[in-house]
Amino acid sequence: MERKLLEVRNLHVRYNTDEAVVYALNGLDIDLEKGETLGLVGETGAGKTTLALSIMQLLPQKVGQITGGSILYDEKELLKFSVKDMLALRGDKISMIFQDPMTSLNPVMSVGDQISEVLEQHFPELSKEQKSEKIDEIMNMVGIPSSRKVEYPHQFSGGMKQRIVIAMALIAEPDLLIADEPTTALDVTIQAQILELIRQLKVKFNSAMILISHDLGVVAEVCDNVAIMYAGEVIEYGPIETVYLKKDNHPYTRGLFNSLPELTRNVDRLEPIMGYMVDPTNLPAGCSFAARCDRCMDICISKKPPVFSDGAHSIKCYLYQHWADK
Amino acid sequence: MVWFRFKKNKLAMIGLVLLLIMVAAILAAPLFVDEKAVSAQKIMNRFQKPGGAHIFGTDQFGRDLFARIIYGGRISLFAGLAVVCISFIVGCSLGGAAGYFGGLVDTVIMRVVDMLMAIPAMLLSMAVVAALGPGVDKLIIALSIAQIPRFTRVVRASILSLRNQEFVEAAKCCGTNSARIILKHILPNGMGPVIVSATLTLGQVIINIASLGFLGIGVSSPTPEWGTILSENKINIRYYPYLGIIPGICIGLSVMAVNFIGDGLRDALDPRTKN
Amino acid sequence: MSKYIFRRLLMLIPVVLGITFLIFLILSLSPGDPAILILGSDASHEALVAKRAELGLDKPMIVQYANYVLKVFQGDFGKSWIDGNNVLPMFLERVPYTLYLGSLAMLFAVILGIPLGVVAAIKQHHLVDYFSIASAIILFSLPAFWFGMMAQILFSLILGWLPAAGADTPRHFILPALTLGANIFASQIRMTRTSMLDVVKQDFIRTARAKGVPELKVITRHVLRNGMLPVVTQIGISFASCMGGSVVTEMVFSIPGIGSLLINAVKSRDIPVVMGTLIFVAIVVGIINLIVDIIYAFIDPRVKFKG
Repeated sequence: MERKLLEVRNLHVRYNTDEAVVYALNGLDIDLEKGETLGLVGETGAGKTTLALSIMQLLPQKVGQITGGSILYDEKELLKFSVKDMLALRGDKISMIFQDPMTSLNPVMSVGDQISEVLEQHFPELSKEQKSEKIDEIMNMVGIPSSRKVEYPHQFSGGMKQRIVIAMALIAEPDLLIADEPTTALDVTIQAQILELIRQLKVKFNSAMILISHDLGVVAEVCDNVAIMYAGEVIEYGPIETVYLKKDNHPYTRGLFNSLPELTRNVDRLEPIMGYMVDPTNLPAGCSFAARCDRCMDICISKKPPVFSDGAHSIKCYLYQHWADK
Repeated sequence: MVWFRFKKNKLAMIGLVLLLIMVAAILAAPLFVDEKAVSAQKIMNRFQKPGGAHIFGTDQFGRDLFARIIYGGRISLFAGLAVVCISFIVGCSLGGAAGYFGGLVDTVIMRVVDMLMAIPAMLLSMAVVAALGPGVDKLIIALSIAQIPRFTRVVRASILSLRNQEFVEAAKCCGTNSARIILKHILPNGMGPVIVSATLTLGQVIINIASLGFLGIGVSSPTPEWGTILSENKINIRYYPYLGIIPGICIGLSVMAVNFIGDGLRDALDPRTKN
Repeated sequence: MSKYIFRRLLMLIPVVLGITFLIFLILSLSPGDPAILILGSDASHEALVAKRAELGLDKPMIVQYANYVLKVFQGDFGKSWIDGNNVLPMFLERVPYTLYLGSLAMLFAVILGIPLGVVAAIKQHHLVDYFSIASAIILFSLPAFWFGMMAQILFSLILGWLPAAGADTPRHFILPALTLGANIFASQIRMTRTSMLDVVKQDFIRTARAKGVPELKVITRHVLRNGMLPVVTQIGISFASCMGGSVVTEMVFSIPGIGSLLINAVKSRDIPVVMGTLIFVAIVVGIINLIVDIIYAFIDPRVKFKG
């Protein structure tokens, strides 16, 4: 079996705020192989961004706290990395695309300088001309004329800003790219272009990618595997084809599918998932989804479900207890 | 809700209690200090150290400093309150008119406001005093003229941000008249920043009154006022430091109390700015 | 850009017109006869009439105002009502002291205040932070003249380190500049601190960190430049209040600037001198604001001059 690029094991993260302690990640596991694309799906507050920031070690200082678990990157424990080692890793081996391109660029710095900052940090040996050449190259790749590198963020549209953010994330040809809802803040017409661009460049540089999204359609188009998150846990994981078969699914995943409109099937009314996301300051003892689940059993309320697997497909739900016997 | 959040802010509560004590003491002054003591000179009694019969000591003419300070507070604090009230009312009317009606009304009012804002408040008040002549009432008018532009701006900005909000549109759609919209919908929502700015302005005005008193403009010695008290004791402070420190503390404490209340109100009215 | 500057300077004219008009208006509404003020209450009726005619006070207010404005544009600011001296030369003699004092105070406040604010923001909830907040609160709560008086007593009269009054040497300006700058210093600390804390929370700071930029560079390159924008605006506002505060400071330290001139003019209701001071201050403040706006446009690429 190929060596894993990223292994997150039993990760716990919480936010300590003035009012309460928010349990953002509660024993999260994910695996990622080299070159793989993993889709991370879940509603707002499921902990998707928290996971991304934990890997980058960019959780808000003093507030966000990793309380347990491990993050192995290339078989090295990231949680034990020194500040200096993390700096060397960030932007070079692991890079990130943020959700809102409107606010993720420095308004008073030219876009060229902002891209160049990555090179200055990670390739100090390059001459000025070489840097400039590389910037031109990546800007052309993301579809922005390199002559515009002297311009400032306010002179670009939202979609173009996101292209610049992508250029910044990919100029160092990272092994792992974390894209946190890269198209959510954009117009629908531009979403597809940006997604396609990310996919192409990822293949070109042979990077692995974690694509965070709440859009099951987007994930289906781009990803190899998908992990469904709920209340800080991965409750279902498997290859896209298996999960999207809609045969065996976590009740929450099924709920997600049912709340999507489909062109091939005639449904009179979409079925929303009843109830609200569980309160992350006050998690139940059993399954976090139990309160909203239409197939909830007694055991679900008292005990947290472990992972049940059927080949590559795994689900955290007692409905699939029989998989354990296989 | 606002009061609840305000109550949780320790500094703001300290400020409020402090200010209330000072106001109460100044109001109740006739009950425990004879007004004659303010100007009663007893040369035999000059430069008494604080304590004993004169808790704040006496000045070069043997006048009781405590009496002078507590009666002086009437000008220092209450004239300040009057200035803020006047400029608050006038500023609300002008800013409200400018913000709500817009167009020519707005242009004219705001041009005048910009013009007045080009001169530092302190200098503008001094110039107005020069034209009006001395006196506490004229001092209040002068300081108000200097503060009105600031209030007008804050009120106008606050109204502009609300005028096109959906709940105002909704009220208009229901056929509500302008006066009712202003009173019922815009004022309660837009008052926050205006009240905060009023509180913080009060601190500034108290300092300005003391400064003008110190310069002898508007009010001057022997009228007791915290600034004039400092100015008449100027040369003696070196040898009798309490003559400088006590009035200084009075000004400092009242301004600090008012500023704490202002900061507390700002945080309570808008939890997002908490920091 | 020169077109922009010219336009902005032209915009000062209505401001000056408005301010002077306001003072004329208040003067004409308020009781008291300047002629009696000048000649004293026991002057003869003929002398008073003659004086009024000389000052143009016998004409309607609008005519008086128009005459005054026409003269001002010819560089004639009139004569003092008290000693009959020409206002302009009196002014030019005193202006350098005030400008020197104001600039020194600003320099001190900015050079010390901004770095302290930056450190306070970076070391939030550390000792430096608490010290800065506490000193800002205290400096905000006390009038500058009180600090000036206390500093004068301590450093000049008791310790004898610095001269107590006068304006002969640069040493004479140390205490006055500290006094005048104290309040501005506090507002610089406060503004810098809040602005920096505000910028640190922005998304693009996270982007910079995600690029692997070390913390120090994140602060110098990304936080500082963005955080300075409101601080620059604040400097402009502070300079204006500095011109106001200068009056008190000049009085405390006996500096012969326009502030001390103004105090005497206000007390004796010497209107031509008061008007001259206001016009001067309005122009200085206008020019300072213009400079601030130009600096702002250099820092922030989003701002462009509308020529």
